[in-house]
Amino acid sequence: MNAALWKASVLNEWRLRSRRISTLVILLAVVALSWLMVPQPKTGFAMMVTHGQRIAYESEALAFATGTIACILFGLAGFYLARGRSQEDLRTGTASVLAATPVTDAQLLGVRWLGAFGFLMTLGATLMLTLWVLQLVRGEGPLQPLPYLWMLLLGLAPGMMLCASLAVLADAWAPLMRKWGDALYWMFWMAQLAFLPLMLAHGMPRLNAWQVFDVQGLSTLIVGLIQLMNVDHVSVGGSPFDTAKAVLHMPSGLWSAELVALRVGAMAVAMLPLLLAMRVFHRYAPDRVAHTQVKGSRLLAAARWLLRPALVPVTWALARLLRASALVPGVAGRWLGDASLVLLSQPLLALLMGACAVASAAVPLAELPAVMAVALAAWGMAVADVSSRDWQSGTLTLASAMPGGARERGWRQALVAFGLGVLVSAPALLRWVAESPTRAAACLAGLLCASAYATLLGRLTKGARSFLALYLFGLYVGLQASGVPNVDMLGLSGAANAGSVMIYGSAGVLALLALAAGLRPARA
Amino acid sequence: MLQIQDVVKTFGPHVAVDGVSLDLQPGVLGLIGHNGAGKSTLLQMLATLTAPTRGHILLDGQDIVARPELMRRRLGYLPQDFGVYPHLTAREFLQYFAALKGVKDGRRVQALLELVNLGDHAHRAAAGFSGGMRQRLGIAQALLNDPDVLIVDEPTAGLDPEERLRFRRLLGDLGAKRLVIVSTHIVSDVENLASHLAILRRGKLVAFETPEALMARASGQVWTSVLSTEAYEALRDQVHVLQAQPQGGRMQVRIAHASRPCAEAQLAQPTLEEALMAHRYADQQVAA
Repeated sequence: MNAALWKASVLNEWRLRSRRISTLVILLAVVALSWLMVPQPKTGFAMMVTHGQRIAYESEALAFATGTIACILFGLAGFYLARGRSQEDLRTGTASVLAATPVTDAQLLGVRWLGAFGFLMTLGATLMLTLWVLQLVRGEGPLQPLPYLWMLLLGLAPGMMLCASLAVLADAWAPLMRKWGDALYWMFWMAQLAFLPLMLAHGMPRLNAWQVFDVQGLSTLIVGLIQLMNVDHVSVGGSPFDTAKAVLHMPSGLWSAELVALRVGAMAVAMLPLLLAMRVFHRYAPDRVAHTQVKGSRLLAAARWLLRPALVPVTWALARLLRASALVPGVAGRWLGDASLVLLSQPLLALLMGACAVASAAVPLAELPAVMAVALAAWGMAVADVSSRDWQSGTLTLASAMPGGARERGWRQALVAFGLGVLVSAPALLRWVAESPTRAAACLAGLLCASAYATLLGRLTKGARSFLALYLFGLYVGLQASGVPNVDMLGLSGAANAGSVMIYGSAGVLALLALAAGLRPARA
Repeated sequence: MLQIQDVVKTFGPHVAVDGVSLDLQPGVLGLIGHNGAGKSTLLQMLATLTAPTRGHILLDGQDIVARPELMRRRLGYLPQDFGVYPHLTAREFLQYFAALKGVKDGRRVQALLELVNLGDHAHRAAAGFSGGMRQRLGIAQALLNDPDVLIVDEPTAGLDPEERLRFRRLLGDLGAKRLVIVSTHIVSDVENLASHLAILRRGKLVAFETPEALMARASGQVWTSVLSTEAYEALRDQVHVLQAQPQGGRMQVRIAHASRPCAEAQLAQPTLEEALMAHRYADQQVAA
């Protein structure tokens, strides 16, 4: 493959990803979040605070704080945005054409990686440009492009490289091509974030070589800042400050040789999954990518064999439920049919949700949020494709010609997701109603909101991953930020209040109304 | 039964269906036209997937554009491209659509699987089916609610000859009691099946008549001859060659032409496909 072909192929990969609606959705979410975490100081909150002193909104500080948040969110969403190319090829029928070309595996994966990385860096650069606007609107010093550029090239780039590499790996190896890959990546992302509490656990933290493995870079950046400012902690992202105290200025010099070396090292680590991808690449061989064959992959086959005693009765019961749904007249019967379809399509998640529901009735109240976090993560994954499944499997036209039509199908799918969420959460809800009614109300409002947006985003983007990325991010933040009511979407941290319940409930109702008003489904 | 009254569908500046009117009774209607003629768009409007920009569609006198549920309850629809849910067996796939259609008779799913020759494959994942098996599953899905109106769009794509024959026979049987609308650009699919043909060209209805009437109008316009290679090469740019088959150094040809194209030419009985092409060429000539 010569240079012109490389260029054309990489551009093609870039175009295919950048023209998805999900790209716009995630980019808007990241920009909105970045802007939201730079509050007006007159509100009593500031973007960066240390010991009650706020740090001035100058280029160094703005680039650092917003870049750090972008590292976290792009670190998660970047993977979901970049992946899915193999499934796209298989769905559109171009897979076999690609496989039959003389392009080598290394070239094919290399092109994929470059396209994905270039695409993610474009998103990062767009974010940085919006932050320049933010600084002009709300900043306190002259706009300096260099701190933003360093943040993009050294702060964000390694994480983007890792997202691209893991996306290529997940697309190259059949067992990771579907929800298993999505679920595993979420766990991996949370593990990456665990670097920070580990680093902060032992007093004044220092940069160390192990942080080369924190490719997303949150701990590296925060520890770098702590060293630079010689403080023991810094809050990033909308914290209260003492107006009586003097405003601090973030000094320049964040990017020390040590920090740069760590980030360059992280880039090298980010490339490692590509080696594995080369080794396991299916090259669209029908016996390796066909659904029935993927089911037979050794890893999943072993898992299924182990879980068989539990899975068999679950699938048996779900098949009976599907059959029985035809006996229920009208919308209720169609709702039951749709609910059976969601569960029957992913019996493993159905089993996990059932187990969590049972556990949530039995565990001590203090342990309930942890159990519910697992239950709601499984629920989110199960309902993420409640509406996009029609498009992905090519059944949209068939299903739209059924009684109720496309319009009813939209709001019905949202109510299916909501109903399943309520079922999974029922024991916890009953316990919370007695102990903390606000928490129960928050859980219900959050479920309604998430259900409606799972359906809406699925219809708009024709895929499950933009919802999944935003939902899993929200779930994680809701668990971590224990004192902020507005991020406690599902009532897991207990911080939710009447205001946050209203916000999520209203957002859910609005999305539901949009679906009921007949927001056009994606055409097959 | 089904009246289509001056139906227009536009997509921006593009007019996909342009003032089509039809009055349809039980039987098999062959909807014929080239790719992009507007067949699928017309069928999507009949299947209530999209609303006409203008015009009315009435089922037994009731407006199905305003009240699409009236149609959906009595409709069986097999779109041109459709897929199956990847984790469901063939039986579960049908059971799901039975739930959506409110089909309470649990035995119907098995009966339809038997009807389309998939009884032995009921427990297999439908995603692993061949194109032909999937198509048969699709027709079983369309028949779940014993529809009064059955709409099938390009139904024989991907079927082998045996399945194609079986499928045509099935559609013929179904057309005895209900309205079956078969859209295709493969004329042989409806040649011995359709009681009426509706021909669309660039969104307009250019003919609505029986196959016999269409063929009668084409008689005297299709010719056959055996020509030397040189004579064939001299002639082929001046006439519309429908078919050319090499035969021992000579060419056996069939030609659409208003008058005898060459001295050796003999009048031939046109097939339906040839009749359609002859009309098309004649229309082009008039337009020119």
